[in-house]
Amino acid sequence: MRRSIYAAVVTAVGIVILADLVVANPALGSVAGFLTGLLVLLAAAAAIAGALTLLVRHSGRIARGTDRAGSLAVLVGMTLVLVPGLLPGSAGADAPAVRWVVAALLAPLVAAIFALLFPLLLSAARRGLRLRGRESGVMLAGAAAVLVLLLPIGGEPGAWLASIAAWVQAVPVAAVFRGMLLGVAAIGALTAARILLGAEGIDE
Amino acid sequence: MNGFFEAGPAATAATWVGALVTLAVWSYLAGERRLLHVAQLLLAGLATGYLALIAIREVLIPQLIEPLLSDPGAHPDLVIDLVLVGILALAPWLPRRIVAVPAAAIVGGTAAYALGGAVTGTLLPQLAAGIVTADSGPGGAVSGIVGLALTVPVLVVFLHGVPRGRALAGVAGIGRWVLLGGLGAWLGFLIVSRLAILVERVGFLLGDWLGVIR
Amino acid sequence: MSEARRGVGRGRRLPRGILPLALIAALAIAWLVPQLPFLSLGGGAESTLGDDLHVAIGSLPDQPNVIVDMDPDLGTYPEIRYATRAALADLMAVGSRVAVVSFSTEGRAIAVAEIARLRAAGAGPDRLVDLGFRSGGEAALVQLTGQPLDRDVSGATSPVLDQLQERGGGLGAFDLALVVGGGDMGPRSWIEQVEPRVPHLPVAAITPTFLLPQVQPYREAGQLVALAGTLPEAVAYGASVAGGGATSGPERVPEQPPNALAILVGMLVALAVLLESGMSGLVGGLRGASRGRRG
Repeated sequence: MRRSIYAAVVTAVGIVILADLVVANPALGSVAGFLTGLLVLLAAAAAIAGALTLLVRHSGRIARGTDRAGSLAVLVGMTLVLVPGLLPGSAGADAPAVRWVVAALLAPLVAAIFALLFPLLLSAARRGLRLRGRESGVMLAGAAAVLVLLLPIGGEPGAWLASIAAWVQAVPVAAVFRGMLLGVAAIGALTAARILLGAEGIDE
Repeated sequence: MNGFFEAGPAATAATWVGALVTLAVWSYLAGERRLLHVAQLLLAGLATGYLALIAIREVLIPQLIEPLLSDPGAHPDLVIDLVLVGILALAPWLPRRIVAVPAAAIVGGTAAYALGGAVTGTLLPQLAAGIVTADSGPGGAVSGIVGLALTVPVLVVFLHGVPRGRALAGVAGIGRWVLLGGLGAWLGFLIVSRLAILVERVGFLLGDWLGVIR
Repeated sequence: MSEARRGVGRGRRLPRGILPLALIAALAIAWLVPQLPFLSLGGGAESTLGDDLHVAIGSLPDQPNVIVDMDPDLGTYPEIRYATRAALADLMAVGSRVAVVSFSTEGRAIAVAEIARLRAAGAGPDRLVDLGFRSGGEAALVQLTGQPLDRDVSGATSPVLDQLQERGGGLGAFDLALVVGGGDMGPRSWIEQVEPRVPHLPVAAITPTFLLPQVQPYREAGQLVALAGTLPEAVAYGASVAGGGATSGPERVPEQPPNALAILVGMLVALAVLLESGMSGLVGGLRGASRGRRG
């Protein structure tokens, strides 16, 4: 019974939204508009659920004495943003205190972690490219060609490299990834269709 | 602070905190893992808190709470929304059969947008773009033929489960090598992107923090 | 391998982290070296990189309405920040009325900072409006296509939105959509969800280099009217706008491009690592083949 209600809702919502894409009908548009608005609000609700889950889980870990420093860091992070942002009269995300926390902590943390990825990526590529000779050689050639074409050289050599890079981007790169895009889009569309028709058994 | 905050004492404090946080994360390279562990958890808290803040202030309050409080009778549809939003917000603590309804709506909507978008936005226009037309000109024709010669084998690689004769298997074999070269090119693009961020962070430390470069 | 040789190998192993730290030191030295004339991130003065975005903005009608979807990732935004700020300055310079919207958490954080920066530089409510954050990804994008845009993030009207109402009020009232991507929401979402519903709205994009394979097919198919999709393109575009000479106000580009020498050093290190691993793989393969023949 639960599975049939779930499948019925999935199919009904999906069919209405798809139909609205291809059929211009005011009543259909109105129902699709309601469903779209509902999905926007449900996404916001999911964000609340995530925050509550994190709050409960890490409060429990602090109470049990498991990784207190880490769990405290999570709760401090949430507090630093939520308290100044939700205070009455606050401008929310535009509040100076929230913008300061983003500037001082959030942005530098993410950027520093992403910056670490360059040496880690090279290290992983170095180990991975040693494994299988011919396949690795082809991948390596592709990566090396891109690096050479994007070298920051000026003057005539730079303009020449830039024009070759532009052709490589426009023709072979676009063509290979068009094939990938088509393949992924086709697989994605088929999977989505199977979900809507109830053929894909999603664990409720 | 690269413009994330206006100049002044608060910006200077933000720069110092940002620099120390950057060095704490990079201490991982010297073998210190605890600081990175705490930094990652702090980031998780900050990001989750920020998402909850903007979800409440910029979505739920203006689109749901305020209209209902101002004139509940004028928005009967929002009452349904409110109930479902409440269910999903408390999902970890409610029975699954109740949470299944809003969850199913999300699954159905996501699948519908994916299917519609993939067909009308990607599949049809990209198939059309791959066709070499008679008025392409010699340069366009050569590029088009090269493009087609690369696109088709890669696409065939994705046709899992489709019965393949020898010809199609041969094309798929070529496609596999072309795909590998393409993935190698993607690795090259990824390396450039990650390098740009590392260079910017070093510039931030030397310029905004230490002031040795302008 | 003998004990002695293994011992020698262990003794020669470098301390942990020395290579990445040496790399960071090399990049720092590169930042300190004065500009070298033969280096240029944007392909040099003769290059046409980044022209299509400059042309797309320059060919907009008088006082155009432009919607900017600010959805980069905080981690990858540093790569495209120069081009993004140049685009915002470019839009201000051609008299645009700009509406900023975000569909992701990090995009919203960046949008708030950039809007504050532009307002501090003098962009008034008749030039800039904040449409805030929309949750739900594609659902929010689709909702945007059907909604009249008559309220900003604080629920107030604005001169920009009033002007949009005169042209119908929805996404169709805009002359250009500029998508700053890098995260989950980006040009592909606009092409798949907005273009089928609002087909006459041109979409341009600024994305980090690693997303180029995903967006290049859309550019070649004409689904994107302009794209700054690689670091050189982004820098070239930024330099062309900065060269326009504005020294103050929201038309000024308040950013420097990445250091070309540091980028060159990093790319040469990457090339060396890739080639070394390729040679090791080749040598290893040849050794294995020869052992197989002897066996």
